[in-house]
Amino acid sequence: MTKNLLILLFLTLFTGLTTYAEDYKASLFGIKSNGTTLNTNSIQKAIDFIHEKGGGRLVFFVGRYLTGNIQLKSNVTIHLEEGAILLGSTNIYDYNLAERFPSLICATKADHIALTGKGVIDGQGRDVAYQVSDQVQKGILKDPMVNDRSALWRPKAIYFRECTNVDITGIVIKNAAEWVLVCDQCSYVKIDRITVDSKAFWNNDGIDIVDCQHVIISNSFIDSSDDAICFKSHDPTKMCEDVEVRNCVARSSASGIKFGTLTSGGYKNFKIINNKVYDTHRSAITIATPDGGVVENILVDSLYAYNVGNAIYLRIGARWNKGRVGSMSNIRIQNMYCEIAEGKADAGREYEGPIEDLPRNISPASIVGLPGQYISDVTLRNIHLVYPGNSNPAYAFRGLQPAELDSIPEMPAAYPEFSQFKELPAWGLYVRHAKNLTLENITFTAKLKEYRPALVFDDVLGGRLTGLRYEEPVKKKKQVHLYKTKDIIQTK
Amino acid sequence: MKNILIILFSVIFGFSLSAKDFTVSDFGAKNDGLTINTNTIQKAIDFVHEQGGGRLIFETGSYVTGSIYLKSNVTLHLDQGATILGSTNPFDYIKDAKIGWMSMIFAVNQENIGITGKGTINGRGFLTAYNMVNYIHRGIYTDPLKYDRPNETNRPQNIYFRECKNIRIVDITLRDPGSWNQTYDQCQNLYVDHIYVDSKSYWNNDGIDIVDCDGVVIKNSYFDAADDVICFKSHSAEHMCQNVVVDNCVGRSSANGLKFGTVSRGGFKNFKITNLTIFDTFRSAITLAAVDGGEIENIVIDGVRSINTGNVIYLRLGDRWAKGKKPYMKNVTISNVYAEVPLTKPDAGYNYEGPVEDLPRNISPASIVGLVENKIQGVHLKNIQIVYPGEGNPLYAKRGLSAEELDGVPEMRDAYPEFSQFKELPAWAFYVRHAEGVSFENVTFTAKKKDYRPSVVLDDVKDVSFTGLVVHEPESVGKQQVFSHKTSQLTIK
Repeated sequence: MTKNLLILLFLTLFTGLTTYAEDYKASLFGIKSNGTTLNTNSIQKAIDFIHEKGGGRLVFFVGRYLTGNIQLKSNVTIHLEEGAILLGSTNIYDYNLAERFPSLICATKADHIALTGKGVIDGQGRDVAYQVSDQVQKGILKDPMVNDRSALWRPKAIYFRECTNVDITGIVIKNAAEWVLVCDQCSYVKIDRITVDSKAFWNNDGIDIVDCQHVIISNSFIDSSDDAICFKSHDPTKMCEDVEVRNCVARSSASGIKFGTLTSGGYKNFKIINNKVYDTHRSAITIATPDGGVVENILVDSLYAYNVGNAIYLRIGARWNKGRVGSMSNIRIQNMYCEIAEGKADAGREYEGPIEDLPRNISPASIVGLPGQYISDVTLRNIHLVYPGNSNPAYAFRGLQPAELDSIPEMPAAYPEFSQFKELPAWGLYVRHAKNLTLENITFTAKLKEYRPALVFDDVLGGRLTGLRYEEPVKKKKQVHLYKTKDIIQTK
Repeated sequence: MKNILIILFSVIFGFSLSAKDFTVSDFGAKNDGLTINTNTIQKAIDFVHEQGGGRLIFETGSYVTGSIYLKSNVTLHLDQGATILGSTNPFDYIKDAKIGWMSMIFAVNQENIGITGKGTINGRGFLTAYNMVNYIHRGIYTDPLKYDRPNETNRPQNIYFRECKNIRIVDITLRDPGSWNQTYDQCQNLYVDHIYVDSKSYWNNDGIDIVDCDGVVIKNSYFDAADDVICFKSHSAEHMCQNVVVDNCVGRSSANGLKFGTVSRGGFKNFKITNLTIFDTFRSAITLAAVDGGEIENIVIDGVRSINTGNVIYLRLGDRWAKGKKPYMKNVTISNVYAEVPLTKPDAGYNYEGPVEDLPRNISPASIVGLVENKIQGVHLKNIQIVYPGEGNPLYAKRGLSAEELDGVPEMRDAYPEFSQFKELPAWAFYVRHAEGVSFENVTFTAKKKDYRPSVVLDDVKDVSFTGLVVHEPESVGKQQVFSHKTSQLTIK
């Protein structure tokens, strides 16, 4: 009797479990793996079917599966076995152009959706982008073609909006015509062990997390022509909150880890731990709030960056604020090693970052607020920044005279970029409009001689500098220049 | 002078604008026979429509597509060598919510539209239908699989136009739909000229279906279909097919050649059908049926060659889905007909042959069968020559001439109207029941061999006349060839 009960119990449990995670092979729905048949409607039918059956995995085995836009539904997993490639159609009209953000795979208000496996999602975005240009030039599609590229139609690879319990694990995502992987106003997002190869066209971000809560991005590799790991806030009533980025490697022709650009709501409670950034044109990490967003409680620990254009850029701006006042406070960056490139860090890559019109010397790490809007409570600890040095005042020059320091433009409405001020008067760290700054155990290394001091503070209210070391092949140089600055406590 | 030139120029320019040509490849459509171009072709149609109209040209090559919607002032023009291939994936087709059917090319509420050119539309319906069967078996798509095939509405037609005005279908070839081939439903001013239809890739492959349309010309066209060839239907009791000309068409069918029905709620009025050739056709060369309350009136059929067809003429009133509406048929003239009816199965060897009956019987006569209370009125048959095989064998199947036997022919008021529905009939050339005002003028019936039945049986016919009736039947000297029962005002001159 007991035995029977046990068997019954076991069977019930077992069947219950298998039903919940049922696998459906793609071929069941007539989905073709030949790389030439457009499977859009079959894949959509499959997703709808699995969704209506209560959920399960749609499994793709080795092969090339061509498709246009498909919409993922609740409780459905697209599982790509090793060798399975979901190929985006190169025909722009196969995408959901009626939507604000066309994409290859989209989901709206879905719960428990997943993309898993060792397979590939390949947007074939360059072909799509070129076809869009062709259609625009023929007058068939209307587009302002900002910077001679389509501004309206290029599809993203993945766009999830207002979804919960999103799981993206293991897969390779590459070659979108625009951003690659976007979660917008989602919560409970887990991105683990993915590879993003996103340099098929302009604006190819790596991962964009927009106004999401409870996000973990871990163990992933991102190589992108635009920002690699990117947090945004499009909606002033929303923000990115409770986010963790761990054990990721990023390469970019823009910034490695970026907060912004669009920052309407803001960012709160981030842990960015044990990541690498390399061969990156702009900053290893940029935290920017140019549109009135609130940035609070950001921890960056164990960031290893080499061959990057800039180490750290923190910025408050006032671009599209619409009455909001941006703020940034409680930022802690610790245990960081960074080598700044002497030449162009992303040289030779497709869609290289833009070069400036005039030559100048290497930029320092920078913390730049606005007059009256101070970046507050920033702590930099246990950091080693290695610069090439060798700046040449005959090449470009920003001296330390009050007039010279004051002439550095505020640029509140400009696009926030470490290079926006052009030549800066420091080689290691430039701080302006900040308060309550802590620098602790930081080594600044210039490999060759510099005409500038390592540190320039301008309008810094309160600071504690401890254990700062300067390595430059020159003796007895004053490496700290303070201007309009008070309450700085310096200790060895 | 200069002003006049400018005006002239703008008129020419305006004209060229309204008839502008666009090439579908400019929109990125691929003619490789592989790429599914649905969205591209739809974009192209929308674009041409928004530009004020014109022709969307398909140059040589094969363009695969799923469902697309044609819009006002757009003509799809298929160059010679251009083929629009239907996707073989049923999921690439839309089952239009208003229409309730799947189709490759839809148009709903549009005007000034057309499909022209010497190219081909090939539905590849056999493959699509089988893929659908496959999905149904796997439980992915729901369908009862009646007769072991997906419902007609779950297989794509090539063309379905609904409530459109001013339609031109010219020169094209239409092949292999998954269901009916082309349907024009509640349309006005439909012009079909010089099309070639090969429609026997799957069950229910009609040739052309005209449903409740007003103002139709079909001419110079060839149809080969597994189901009815030139088929007029009336799905709506509030509408009817009217003002129709069919001229110089050739048809082959494993059902009927020219057919009115089966669904016949509103009716059919003012038809002129001339110069019609029907061959190798399983059922009737001409079936006019009103079984769902429809009205049939003023039908002229002149010049018919019917070679190797199972039956020649079948006129029928029934009472199937009439819902109290009283059908009628009056004023039908059929003239200048030459027909040969074979002893063997006329469509043997074609794809999707018509069904064989369970019991053997003798060849059916042409028939006019009304209802007891509702007679077919005014049928004029003139210059008719029909050659039958004869050989009617009473040991094989028999319907004798006794009152009991004639009354024993079932009425079958609510049955599907088919020349063969009554099984064995008591005449070998013509059987008329429940009719009034029927005239036969200059009519010749030939039986190649002796038949046990008389050539003509009249049952419950009022006012019937024969002028110049000639009957040829071997070994039948002195046989009474016209037999009447419950019949009045019969004259034979």
